[in-house]
Amino acid sequence: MTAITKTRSDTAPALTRAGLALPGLGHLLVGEWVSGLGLFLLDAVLVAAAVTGFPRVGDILFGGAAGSMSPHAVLALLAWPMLAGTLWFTAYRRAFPRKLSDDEFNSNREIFLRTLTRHRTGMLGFYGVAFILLVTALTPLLAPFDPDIVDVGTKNLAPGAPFYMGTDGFGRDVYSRLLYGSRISLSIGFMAVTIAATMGTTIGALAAFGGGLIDRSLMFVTDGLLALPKLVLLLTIVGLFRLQGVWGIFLIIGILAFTGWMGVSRIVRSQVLSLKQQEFVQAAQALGLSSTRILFRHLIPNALAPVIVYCSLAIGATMLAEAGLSFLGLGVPPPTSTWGVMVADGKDALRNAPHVAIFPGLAIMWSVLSFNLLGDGLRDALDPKLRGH
Amino acid sequence: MLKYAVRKLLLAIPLILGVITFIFILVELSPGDVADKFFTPETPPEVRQAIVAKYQLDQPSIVRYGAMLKNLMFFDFGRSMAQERPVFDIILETLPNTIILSAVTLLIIYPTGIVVGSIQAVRHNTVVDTSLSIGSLLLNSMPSFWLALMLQLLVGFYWAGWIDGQVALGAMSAEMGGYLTLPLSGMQDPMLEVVGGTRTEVIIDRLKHLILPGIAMGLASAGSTARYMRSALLETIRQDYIRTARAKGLREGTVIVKHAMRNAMLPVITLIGLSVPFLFSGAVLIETVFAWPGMGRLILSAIYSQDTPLMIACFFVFTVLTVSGNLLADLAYAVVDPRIKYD
Repeated sequence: MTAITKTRSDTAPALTRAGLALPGLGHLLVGEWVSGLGLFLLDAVLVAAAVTGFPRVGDILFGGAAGSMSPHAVLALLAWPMLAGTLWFTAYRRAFPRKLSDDEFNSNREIFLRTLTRHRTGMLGFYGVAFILLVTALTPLLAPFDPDIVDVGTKNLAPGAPFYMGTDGFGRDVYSRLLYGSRISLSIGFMAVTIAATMGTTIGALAAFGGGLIDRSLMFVTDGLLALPKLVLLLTIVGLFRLQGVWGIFLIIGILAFTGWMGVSRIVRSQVLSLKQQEFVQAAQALGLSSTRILFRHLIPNALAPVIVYCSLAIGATMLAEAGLSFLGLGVPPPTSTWGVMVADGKDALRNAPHVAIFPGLAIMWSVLSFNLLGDGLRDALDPKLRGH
Repeated sequence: MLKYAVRKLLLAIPLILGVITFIFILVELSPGDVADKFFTPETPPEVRQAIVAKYQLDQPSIVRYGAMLKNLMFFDFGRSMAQERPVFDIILETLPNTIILSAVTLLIIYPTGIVVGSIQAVRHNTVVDTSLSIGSLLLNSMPSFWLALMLQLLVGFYWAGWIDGQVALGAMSAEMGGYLTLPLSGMQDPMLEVVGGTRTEVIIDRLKHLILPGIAMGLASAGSTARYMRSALLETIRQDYIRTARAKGLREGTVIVKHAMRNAMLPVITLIGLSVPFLFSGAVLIETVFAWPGMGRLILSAIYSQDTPLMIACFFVFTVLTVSGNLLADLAYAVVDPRIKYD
């Protein structure tokens, strides 16, 4: 811990105030280039959304099916000022740091934040993830075209204005489809991992806390499922349960969660097993607390740090799995577009229109890489003991 | 040691039983009547009756479960609905193809990973190390099917185009051009299949068909093997016996290759057994892109045509192979690392 506590300063160099003019500039001027460039990237998204979105707010809000308001567009409009505010607040905090008491300065939260912000590749991942989230939130403002409009006249056009990433075999704008696809790909990743983490934490903690036969049988199931080839398992389940429409999406989320909880449960189990021996648990038992209370209020919260790291890494892996399923035509049912489906669309016209497959693949790579880098950063920030591995 | 092996083997049996039970429950839970999953509406009634009798489809679940266990034990997977022949024959045809592809992939993953990881460890914290790390991270974040498509694009379009250009210019002989062009899909040149060729021709042709799928499947995983090898070697280099070897005046190359790498490689090599599930998952996607007639494509076609017996059989074979792979990894680890306790 001592290595992290640098000399503290309550004031920042005057140059950081440049950030108030343009978030990121202040960071860049004092040599924090990862944060500076990251914030610039986010600025650019906001500017692009304003330039392409604001002149046609009316269209975006009421242009949908039969003039009804699209909830995504409303959310995007509400999100824009909030996101802009967040960026400016970041710049403001860098220029005028909060005055911390000694206790606050040495609190876990502050140490975590300091370690993470100094972790270069971790921050790279953080801004990569922030970029995707921002783009996803502002999609209706950013996308120049309707992602599902088919136009044979504009088939397989190469990238250029007005189709920045070209068009696919149905004449749909690849850029708009990519933006709208991020919604599905990301939310499937997040939801599946959230469910998997909850399941895994509960099962792992129960196994460790229960011990004996409970432990052995739960771990038998865990190890068994962990040993199976994941994609084959996914395929078999999808093949047996064919569902259409929205239920198809929920089925994919459920299956991805079902095949993803085993890693978490092993981590939590080993954490709880070692925590169980520690004195604060004995103290809690001596105080007469119930087992449930000890489990949920004392053991699980202390075991969560590696779970958070695992989740960040798992989101990347889950997005890859979903892309694979969609690529095979067994993922999210049409007409919903996800990045995996888009790569599959591009497969057939690889020679004439390679851009159709290239861009969604790059998008998948960007997100998976960002989540992996962020996960590494979180691991170092949450658990100094693990650093260097 | 023998006791340990037997114990591990015995532990694998309930695992496989558990998996069979799991598939059975899945099939029971899936929508639709159970009997409908074993024949199509076009199946003639007498065949239908025979199938119902054989798999006891008109009996309650528990009897069907027993029948399934008995059949699987004798590798009787039933008849494929789509191909109308015994599933066992189909699998016997396709399994070798997947095993060949997996073997080539392993040959790409491990040597590459070990060499790259060693270079990184020896050149620790230099530009070489960092750029190789970034490279393997990028490969790891790439969807394998996308990498496969990009390889097809690069090799099939740009590379082949360049060769055609050279041949047209006369800078390269047509024969040389033919050798350098790589096939983009399939397992065998259709011409060779029809006309037939000498043994060497067939082998070269097969190898050429293997290169691209092997690279597409192995490259990402070579990155993670390299990362593993790097940390293993870094740990080994710090050991006392390495200092002793250096103090004896051995050349640095000898120290690294003979003393450090040999020891660092052992745990990495035992990973081979554990990479079986990964290989099979990759096989599904890569075999689809490269039209490789293996198990991955077989299970996909079974899913597309709702061929339940074939689906179950593929899943079963995948599982048994995976469990055996894990078993081998455990045993191999116990052999190379005597510190492991056999209990």
